[in-house]
Amino acid sequence: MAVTVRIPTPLQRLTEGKEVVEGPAGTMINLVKELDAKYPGLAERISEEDKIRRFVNVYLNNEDIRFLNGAETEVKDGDEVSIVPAIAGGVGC
Amino acid sequence: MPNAHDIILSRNQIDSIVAHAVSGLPNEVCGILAGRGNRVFDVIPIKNADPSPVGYFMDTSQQIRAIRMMRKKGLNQVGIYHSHTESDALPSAKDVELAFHPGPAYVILSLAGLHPELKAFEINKGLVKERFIVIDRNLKATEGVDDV
Ligand SMILES: [Zn+2]
Repeated sequence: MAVTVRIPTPLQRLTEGKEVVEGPAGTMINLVKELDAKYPGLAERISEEDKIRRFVNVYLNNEDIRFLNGAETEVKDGDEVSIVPAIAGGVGC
Repeated sequence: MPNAHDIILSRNQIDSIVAHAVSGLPNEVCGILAGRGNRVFDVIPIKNADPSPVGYFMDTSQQIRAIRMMRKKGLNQVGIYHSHTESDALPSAKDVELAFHPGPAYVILSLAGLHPELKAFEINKGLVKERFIVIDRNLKATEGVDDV
């Protein structure tokens, strides 16, 4: 068993086209780093200085990790993590 | 014949985007266009989590619900739409900056003029290209979709 991670379409070019990848249990930021070792470039797109980027949402099962423990949230075997880039826009820059 | 870069919508779907945008005034509204290839099957309104006349931010939990529904039905994100209430149907600098999805068409509906104006764009790494919107008179809103 491992942690299942769902990769959004824009990042699948970094995961050899895979929509679902697996990683080890531990903290979320550690999971991101482990995945980056296998799929270089992934961590940079998801996180910045060990924090999840502002326009990237990370869900653990059905919870936004911002409402859990952020990048330090513990992830267990069998959990499903979804990486979801925000969809946003506007006039004010 | 529509080409691969066009986005194909039915009249009803366009009507429902316009109705959604009008119902959200004075704020912008947003949503996902689910379908296959470049053909839209479902218009999915998503709550604007940061309601404002000059911006939108899709509610993440509704966005995730839509992604799961699409996965179940075997549909893709063919387009992403949002409305402009005071400006033309052209992507703003921030729209371009925050466009992380190179695949789907960015569809913008402007309510700023005398008539609603609908345009579609491909936005990839800061490059904006307009895409044609093709109206399919035979396309029913849920054609080809098996409800799960
Ligand atoms: Zn906009």
